[in-house]
Amino acid sequence: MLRKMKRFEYFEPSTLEEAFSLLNKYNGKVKILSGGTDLLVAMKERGLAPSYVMNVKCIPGLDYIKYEEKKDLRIGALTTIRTIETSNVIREKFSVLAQAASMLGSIQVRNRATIGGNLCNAAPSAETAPSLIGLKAKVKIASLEGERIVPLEKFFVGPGITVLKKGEILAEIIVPFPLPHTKGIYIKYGRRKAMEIAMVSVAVIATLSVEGEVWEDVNIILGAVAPTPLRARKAEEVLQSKRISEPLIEKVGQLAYEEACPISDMRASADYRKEMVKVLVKKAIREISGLKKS
Amino acid sequence: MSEFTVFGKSVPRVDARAKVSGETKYLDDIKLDGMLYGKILRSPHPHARILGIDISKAKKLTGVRAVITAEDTPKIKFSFVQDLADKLPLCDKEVCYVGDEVAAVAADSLEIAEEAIDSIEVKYEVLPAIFDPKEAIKPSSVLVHEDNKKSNIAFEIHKKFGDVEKGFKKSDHVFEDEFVTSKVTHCCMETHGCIAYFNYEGRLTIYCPSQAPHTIRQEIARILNIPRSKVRIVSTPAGGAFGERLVTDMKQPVAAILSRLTRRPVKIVNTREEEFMTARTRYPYIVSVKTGVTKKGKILARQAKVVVDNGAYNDKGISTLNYAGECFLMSYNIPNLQYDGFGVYTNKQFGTAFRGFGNPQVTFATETQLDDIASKLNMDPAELRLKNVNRAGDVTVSGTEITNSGLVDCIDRAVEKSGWQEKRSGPRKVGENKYRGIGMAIMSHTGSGGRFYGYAATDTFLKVSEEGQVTVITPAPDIGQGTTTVVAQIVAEVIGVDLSNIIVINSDTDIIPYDLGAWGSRSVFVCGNAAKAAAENLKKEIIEVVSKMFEVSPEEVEIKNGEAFLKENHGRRISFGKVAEFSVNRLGHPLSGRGRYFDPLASEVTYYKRAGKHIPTFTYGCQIVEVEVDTLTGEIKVIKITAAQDTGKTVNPYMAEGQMEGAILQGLGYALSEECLLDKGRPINPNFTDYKVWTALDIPKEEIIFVETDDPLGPFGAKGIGEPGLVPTPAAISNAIYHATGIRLKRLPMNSERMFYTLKKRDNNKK
Amino acid sequence: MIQKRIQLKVNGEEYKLEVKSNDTLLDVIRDRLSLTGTKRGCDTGDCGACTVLLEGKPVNSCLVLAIEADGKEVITIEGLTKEGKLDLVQEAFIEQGAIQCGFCTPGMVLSAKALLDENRNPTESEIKTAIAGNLCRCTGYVKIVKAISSAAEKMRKIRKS
Ligand SMILES: Cc1cc2nc3c(=O)[nH]c(=O)nc-3n(C[C@H](O)[C@H](O)[C@H](O)COP(=O)(O)OP(=O)(O)OC[C@H]3O[C@@H](n4cnc5c(N)ncnc54)[C@H](O)[C@@H]3O)c2cc1C
Ligand code: FES
Ligand code: FES
Repeated sequence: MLRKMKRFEYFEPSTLEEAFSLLNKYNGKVKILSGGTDLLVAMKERGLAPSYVMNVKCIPGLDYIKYEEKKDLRIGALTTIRTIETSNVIREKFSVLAQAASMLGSIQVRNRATIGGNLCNAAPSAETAPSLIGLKAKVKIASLEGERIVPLEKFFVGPGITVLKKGEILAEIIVPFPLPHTKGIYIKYGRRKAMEIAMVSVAVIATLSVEGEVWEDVNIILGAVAPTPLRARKAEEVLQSKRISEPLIEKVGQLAYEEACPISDMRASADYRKEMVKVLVKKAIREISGLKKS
Repeated sequence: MSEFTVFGKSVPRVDARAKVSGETKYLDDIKLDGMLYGKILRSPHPHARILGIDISKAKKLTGVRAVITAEDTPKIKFSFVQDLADKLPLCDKEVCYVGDEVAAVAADSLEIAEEAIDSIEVKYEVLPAIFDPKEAIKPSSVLVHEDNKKSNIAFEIHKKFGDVEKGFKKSDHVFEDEFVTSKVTHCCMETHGCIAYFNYEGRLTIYCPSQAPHTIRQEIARILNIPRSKVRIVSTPAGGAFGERLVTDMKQPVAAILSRLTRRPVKIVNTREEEFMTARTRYPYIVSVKTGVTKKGKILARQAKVVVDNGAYNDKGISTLNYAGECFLMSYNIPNLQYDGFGVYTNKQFGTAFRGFGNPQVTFATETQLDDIASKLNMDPAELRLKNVNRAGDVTVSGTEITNSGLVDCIDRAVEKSGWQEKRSGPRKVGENKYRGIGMAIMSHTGSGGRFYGYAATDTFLKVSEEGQVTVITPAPDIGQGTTTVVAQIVAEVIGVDLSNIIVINSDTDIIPYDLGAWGSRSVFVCGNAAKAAAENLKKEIIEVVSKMFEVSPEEVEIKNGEAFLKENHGRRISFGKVAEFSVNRLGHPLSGRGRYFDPLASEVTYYKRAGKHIPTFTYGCQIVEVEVDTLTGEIKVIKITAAQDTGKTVNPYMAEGQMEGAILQGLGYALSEECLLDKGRPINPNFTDYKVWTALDIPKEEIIFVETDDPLGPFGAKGIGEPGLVPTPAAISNAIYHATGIRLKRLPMNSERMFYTLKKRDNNKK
Repeated sequence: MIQKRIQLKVNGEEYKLEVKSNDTLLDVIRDRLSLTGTKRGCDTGDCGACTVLLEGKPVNSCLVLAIEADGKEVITIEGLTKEGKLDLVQEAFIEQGAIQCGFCTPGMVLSAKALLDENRNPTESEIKTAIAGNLCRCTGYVKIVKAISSAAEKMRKIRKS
């Protein structure tokens, strides 16, 4: 039932330490508020009624994009999706992430929504996840005990569930500098051109040989077709160290189709989602390799 | 055009400034002193018996001022057509759909009201429910209304002219198809709401966005069992309407009862979720059409059987079914026609009026089938239509005289502007797995409301202040379509004053003349005619005064551009303001005018009888749509829409284009993406995330063409065109898809998934 | 805290007020400041009717807690009209016939305003992207897009001269 939110105790820590101690003190009962575009909707629409809400946006030093040539890209968890979408460095060097960012919700939503929130909310359709996993991103998780780094691929556990433990905050996303000749593409499939939750999404990121013919490192990540963003491992393997060809593309599509295990819901049937995985994976590979189907 | 100064011009809307600056007060922007917030408890079950309601907890909450159940209401059943009354404001014994009203509270704040509602405990005995109209129509079906109905058939409509069986026999080909349309809803950006206030004299004022304030006034009086004179409706600017604000919504009587108990104003506003849940939708139709044609493409007989998914209660079900039948009889000159419709109850949210009023559903069926016929006969779809359409001067088999028609011109112009010939024969394959096609559909629709009530008249009053300010008192509701501006334009044109001199009052049943409201594209026609008559009377009075001032005969006086002058001597002129002053100060009477639109034929037409005479004048349109289908995904992309529309005479081109562009977008959504989805009667997409209203990024190219036919009955020749824009859209798209792919989709929405599986099935069959 | 005294600068004016933790910025703008030009169309971020400029950027005020807007600057539709004179974008909406029921208009205008503040020469697709989060059920968007592009043109002219 769509309702006014229930009242809650509100905190606005100004340091990470303060945030950790609040998290520990109200063990499990406190919700972290970043952009609020998921959290507040859940509180209004789905009766989520946390006793405590902790706005982390006043903690300095969590909103940044730092790029070091040849090393990595670091994005603070509080960086908004709009900032990512419009960041020159991300558009140039990590365009597949910028692409994904530009497709999330509307500008109003992107101005509030954070990348940390997108990942922590852990929707199977989370817009930025496939691209980031494909880019081999890791996340830095902070707590009173210190920091730990987890590959993003291992971060998601189920719909709305991550490896974050009580008392932990997602602090940073680290994207390694891609090898030369790496190309990526993100395709979001829905019914509208904006304001859409993906019915299926596909990120393909691959490093090609110098001549651009052999696929050396292949990452195929699927969104909205499993409880978490899904790596299509078998599909990836088939392409590994191969020269691209039409029969091979067909095979990759078929394998991705088989690996996807979506549910049926009002947005699409499970079967249609699988079919679209096949189509979109093939399309993405063709686009990366500059092939037009003959 | 040049004969007019204001009429026919794209003048800005008179209410534009207030709207663009955020000043306009919509319902939820109004706060009255002491106002309470009401909330309705709704049924979570599609069908259940109410065994008991415990409101004790709710009553104890601080800030709760009233809690009511059916026991606190007069328990008078209601429907738009009172013979079909079946709906209580609060359910007594039985709930019939998810969202049905069960109890209500009024509290100091919305937050408290919501808490109170959540604390009410209702004991239900869940009953079997029925959702599929084809099942529900069977005699053996579970009954939607346990108490007093013997079957789920809520109403029937039958129209028969000529003998279709004979017609089919004479035909060379007979086509039979079934089409299924979906449940879509208005999605007004402003959710529905009202404020009700019963004062100490027992007089009730209801503030609400309304398309038909006088109708709502009667309905509320009936439900509350009080005299109509005790009810006053003040319509607030509507944030969209499209049919949703025509019939009383149960919030209105519920708020009234809460107010009567508390003696305070009570506001109830839908959340967006409630709006979707209780959205009175466009009625889903299952339409079976049978058409017989000769080899040469002459249609000899056509028969339609319509099953209306009525939902849990009657509302406009019978009226839409009847009206769609009128349109079914109209577009083509067919000697044998039969139309049989059945309204069937189901345990789902019910329908109401929605732009097009049944016509889009039936037109989708008939116009899609006609395209199929053209392809089987190997004829150009435009040619087949032109061969069969009614033309001005024709009398239909149902007895309608086609007084005026732009249909042929609409087809010709749309064909020309869309590049039809070229694109019909051009290549369909435009890229890897991409196919383009172009399709058309036509429609006829009322441009003048109708005589359905047995009367169709209204008045307009004009008063002129002592310095020349003109106030127009008209019943024309402005629901965003711009009737206040249209009425002002008409008055300004007749009496030759500037628009800025005109104020329009149109919102209070204590002031405005009695009228039936904004529906059936009737406001321009009915209210426009009344306004014109009033302005002409005022003009006479003005001229008389001027003739006295100038001491000349009235025939010598002309008025224009805010001035009166002598026809022969333009140097002798005087401003409108001075004339008004002279009249008040010297002659001792202010200027005023009264005008009436009266349709003598209306009283001869009784409800649902005398087909052929229901509608004073029709309007016509033709749309041509170009689509591109991706056969890998099933995606259907609309490239361009060319829409030619008969306007009679275009009152305000920008506003008329706006009506078309807005309607077309609703038509696109209806055709391709929108649908209220239910799971066992429970709405599963009651939000804009999953109910797919198109965004600015989704719109195709559009070209709007107006065909002017100068209607002899309309004000300055104008007809209403508020609705038609979406009527032919789904069929035109379906036909374009067929042209592109050879696949005929007969079910709405034609979404990518449906397209994909239809393509797949075909490809499998080929193998 | 469940209540907090916050300070907001709305349309250039300072306000100090006590808000509850569960009040959204939209609630406060409409109910407490009576700036009802900001509309509630859905309350869940889907329609854009509640768009305001928060620190110059368009956001859905239904998805911002009032409490977190403490110390921030907000522009609502009422703030665009300066001394009775409409903003260029507002004028363009009137001239181009981009308004019907008007319910989406305030949010639309603010989204457009934010676009043109950043980009005086937007392409049609940039305009559509800027208003993609503002649903309109009446106009079909055609005239809205035209209005925004005509406002942009006017702005460019004024800048040149
Ligand atoms: C209209 C609309 C359209 C949308 N469209 C899309 C779309 O197209 N694609 C898409 O993927 N999403 C979409 N979303 C969802 C949402 O906007 C995104 O997921 C967004 O990135 C969430 O970020 P946030 O900062 O607003 O998260 P919040 O709502 O603040 O938080 C989300 C969850 O993560 C937790 N959390 C937040 N930050 C942290 C942190 N640093 N450490 C630990 N936990 C944290 C919160 O406690 C909460 O449970 C849409 C939302 C709306 C309202
Ligand atoms: S009310 Fe905020 S986006 Fe709809
Ligand atoms: S003008 Fe009515 S919603 Fe846009």
